[in-house]
Amino acid sequence: MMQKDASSPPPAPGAGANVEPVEEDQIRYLEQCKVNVRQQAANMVRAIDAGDLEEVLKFANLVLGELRTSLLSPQKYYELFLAISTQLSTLESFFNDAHSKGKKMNELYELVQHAGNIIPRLYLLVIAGSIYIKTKEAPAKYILKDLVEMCKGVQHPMRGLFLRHYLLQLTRDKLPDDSDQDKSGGTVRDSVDFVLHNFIEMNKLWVRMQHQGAGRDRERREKERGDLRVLVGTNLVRLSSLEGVDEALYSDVVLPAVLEQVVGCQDCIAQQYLMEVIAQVFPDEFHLRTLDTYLKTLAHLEAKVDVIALMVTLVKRLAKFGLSQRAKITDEMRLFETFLENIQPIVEHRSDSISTVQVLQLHEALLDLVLSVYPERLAYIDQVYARTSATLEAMNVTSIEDAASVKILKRMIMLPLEAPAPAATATGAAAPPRNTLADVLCLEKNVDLLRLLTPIHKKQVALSITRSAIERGAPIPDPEKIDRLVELIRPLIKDEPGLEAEADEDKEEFEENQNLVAKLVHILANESSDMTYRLFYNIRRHFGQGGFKRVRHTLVPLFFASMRLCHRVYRTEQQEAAGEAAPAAEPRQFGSIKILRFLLEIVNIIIKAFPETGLRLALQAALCADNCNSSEMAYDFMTAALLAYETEISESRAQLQAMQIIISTLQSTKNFTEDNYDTLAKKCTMLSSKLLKKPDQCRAVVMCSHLFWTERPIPATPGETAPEWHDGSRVLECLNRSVEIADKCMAPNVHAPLFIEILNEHLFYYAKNVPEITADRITELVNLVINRVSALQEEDLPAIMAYKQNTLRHIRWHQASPREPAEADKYAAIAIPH
Amino acid sequence: MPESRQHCYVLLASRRAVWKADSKTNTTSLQNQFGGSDYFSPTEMADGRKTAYVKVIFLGDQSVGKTSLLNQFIQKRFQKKYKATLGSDFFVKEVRVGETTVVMQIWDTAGQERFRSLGSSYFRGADLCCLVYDVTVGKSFDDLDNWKEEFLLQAMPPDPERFPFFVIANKVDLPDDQRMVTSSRATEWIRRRPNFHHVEASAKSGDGVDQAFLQMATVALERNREDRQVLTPVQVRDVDPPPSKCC
Ligand SMILES: Nc1nc2c(ncn2[C@@H]2O[C@H](COP(=O)(O)OP(=O)(O)OP(=O)(O)O)[C@@H](O)[C@H]2O)c(=O)[nH]1
Ligand SMILES: [Mg+2]
Repeated sequence: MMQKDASSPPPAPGAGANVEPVEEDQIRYLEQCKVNVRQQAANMVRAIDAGDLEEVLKFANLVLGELRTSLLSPQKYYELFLAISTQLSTLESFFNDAHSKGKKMNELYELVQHAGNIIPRLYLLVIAGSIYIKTKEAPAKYILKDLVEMCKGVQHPMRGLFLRHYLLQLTRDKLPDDSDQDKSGGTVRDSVDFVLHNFIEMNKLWVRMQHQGAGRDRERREKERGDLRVLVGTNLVRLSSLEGVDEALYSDVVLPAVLEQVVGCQDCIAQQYLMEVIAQVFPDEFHLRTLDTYLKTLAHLEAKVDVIALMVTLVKRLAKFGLSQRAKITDEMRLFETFLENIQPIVEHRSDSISTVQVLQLHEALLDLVLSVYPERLAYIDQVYARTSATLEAMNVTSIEDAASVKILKRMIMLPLEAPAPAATATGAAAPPRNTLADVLCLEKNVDLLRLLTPIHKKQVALSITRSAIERGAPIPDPEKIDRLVELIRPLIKDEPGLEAEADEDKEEFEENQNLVAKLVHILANESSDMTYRLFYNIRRHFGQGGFKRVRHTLVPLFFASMRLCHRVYRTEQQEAAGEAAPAAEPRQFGSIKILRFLLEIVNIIIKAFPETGLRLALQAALCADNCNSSEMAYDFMTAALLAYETEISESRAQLQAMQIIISTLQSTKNFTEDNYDTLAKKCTMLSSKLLKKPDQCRAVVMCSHLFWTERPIPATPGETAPEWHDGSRVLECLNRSVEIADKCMAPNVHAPLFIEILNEHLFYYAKNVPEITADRITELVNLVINRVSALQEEDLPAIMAYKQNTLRHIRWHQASPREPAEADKYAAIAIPH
Repeated sequence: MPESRQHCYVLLASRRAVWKADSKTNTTSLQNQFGGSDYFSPTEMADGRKTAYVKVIFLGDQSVGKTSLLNQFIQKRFQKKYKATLGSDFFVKEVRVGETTVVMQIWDTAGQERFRSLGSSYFRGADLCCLVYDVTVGKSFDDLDNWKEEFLLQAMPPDPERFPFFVIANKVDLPDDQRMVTSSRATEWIRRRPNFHHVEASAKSGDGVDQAFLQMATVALERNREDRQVLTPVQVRDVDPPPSKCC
């Protein structure tokens, strides 16, 4: 669009137009100008001292004449302008003086217009006019009007812009405003009209630059325009600094006029810059009031204008404002709704020129706004999410992979979970309340955004969420929230298509991640045991789908947490039964038995994946059940352990170890019925005698003998004290069996120590006065041991000999120093050959 | 606290006195008080009082409170509303330092880079640079060094390592829990920079503001006097040609 220019610019002295001199030439030229300026200014001052008005004006003309140049770039011209305008301040005071000596300002105002060239003439007019206003010889409004009109005489863009800038500068403190005592000069409306008029003229000059000169100079021209833009923008600063420009005047007069010019000029650079300046130089309170107008205007800007950047600027500004002054943003302002309503059509209309990252930036800013202004309105957050995914979908974006977009998207998902940055809260009042984890888990639409990420990024988000959830440690109030959480961190919970490629991810990293997931269990524990149980139950369902490699990391911590829960519930049950604690207000849904069953489920899953771990957990659970006086469940756990042993454990060392802990666990239980105990003990003995290696069998069977001679009380039938579990014949049976097995071991260095061990066991029971273990039997064994040890080879001797000697020394010690008379006879009955 | 009058026109009157003084003592060079790289020295008045002109540049991040500090100093007013500054703008105010009336020309600038398109040629000839930070925004403190560098680059003082800087820690009225830059951290930072001065102030309450400007005037005046001595040879080149052409 070509603007018609009636008055051609005045010819530049000594240069063809539009030929940009090189930088050094400019510097030299500028220096020359400044020397001239100083010279002529000195002359001017002398004339001032001489009081010769005509001479003063002559030299002032010469000073100002330098501004007629076309040879300087905007920055250099600005430097010259600054040098000249400082010199001219002496002229201001001269006019001022002249006035106080009786000179009429209207005459002076006329007189300066005799200057030959338009540039000096108008600068002089501006100076005279500004003093004229100050002296109040005429109302400011008329002088302002005249000045702003007269400046039309300069139509060369750069020179015109600086002239008008000067006008704005000199009148800065002379614009009629509401706070003025004396209203004769005009009202703030006059000032507004004046600045608006000046703004419109300056913008026209600025826009016109774009259309002058050859097409190939476009780049340079745009650079020059960029440099000069601040001059145009200063008009808006002036408007905003007028006190009388309140919200009403701004929204009714100022903004509409400015926007009309901005839209009407149809210039991309001007629109981009001025819309941003509007957003920045006027206060937030004004924007809140005119938000709709501003946003609607965006739709009418040139296609190349980056409206998203403009919206982001405004949203960010208001978000910052909202952080410190939330109270000032009322519901009637419909801040959030207004943004949503306006964003949609603009984005739709420009969908082919808008990029994914822009859409994300905009919605990210909107989310910041929601979180700072409406921190408690979760629905708004979901709306932003829904809008984002809908917009992207409309743009056929199905996957987001570029780094910038991914970063924003991740931040958007994480934002509600994160505390506001301290820096953001610095501007004012207290930080908005933080959403709890439970709040965040009410959100539903974040999954739609998550879906756009690649598997690897999804996993990163999942980790961040998990970390944040653990860090918050906030209780989760209902089981459905677990499902939401799992949905967000799914890649950590189970294998997902797409991630298999890197399934062989660093083992260490995998374990670290799974341990992190396991920590989630800790944030589930809850005041209410019922709720805790339900949360555990729900998360178990999800953990259970994680495959073997995960359950070890996730289910084990859950197992222990559940066991703690079981103890806790049992204790309460006991207290309630004993009347020590008032029964819960609401009847308990899940008692200790129920929790034990849950433990059994967990144990069975773990056994399948990791039999040895599972077996041990089963035994732990058996003790727990026994402690909780639930012998049935204890029996089930023991059975599970034995089954695991039989079906899953095949390596001989593992078998022996497993058998040993099974036996000792059974031995430490207290509450089995006789039948159940018997069954289990027999089963242990039977399995022990089937161990792979003879020595193992022997030792395990010896151990089994202890199952039949324990301190374990048989459950007391009412009125009876519980007898101990003493069954000498079964002890003997086990010991006999062990001797048989030891005897079958061929190598003397294997069976000799076995016999010594068996001898020691006998001595144990003999001390306990088990009737079936007689002195004869021991004598027989002693002979057997001596006999077998003597058959040993030289190199095996020392250790076994020592063992044998110690054992015999033990018997002799009993014989020699009996603690009571009965003992003397008892040990004397054992014969030790010499 | 010496009396300080508030409106700009005092300046004009005093300048007038300067020309008189100049013409009387037959000084050939009439220096522009604030312009370019010309320095102006305190001038003896008829009544024995002196007047000096100093130029101060305000720099600092967006919204640290540069404009607010100036408003508080000049108009004794504070506005909660934030209005970004565009480009640059100067204000004039005089203060008394001992026997000398110091006329301060203070340049307010835009903290936002993209609002400073016309360059910074007005930095030249400054006697002092005032760097402002917001005690509740750590970054604004971290950025001080950048602002210093930028200033020295554009102002090109002959002795950059000795050029005086004045640092204002603004917004100290805000509650302590919002404070991100502690006094001790700032003091430590300043200690390592001998040519830096530091004060805390609040443009909102006015605390420390007048004192800050008075101190600035003092420092700037000192610099201005030193310049006259140190830089005399340099200045010779800049001196106007003899007024032979003059009538
Ligand atoms: N509480 C408090 N707020 C202040 C203080 N000084 C400034 N502000 C506020 O901070 C915001 C920014 O102040 P300005 O003076 O405009 O900041 P600036 O440094 O000029 O900003 P730019 O012009 O963008 O570079 C405004 O909202 C002021 O009200 C202060 O001492 N205390
Ligand atoms: Mg400012």
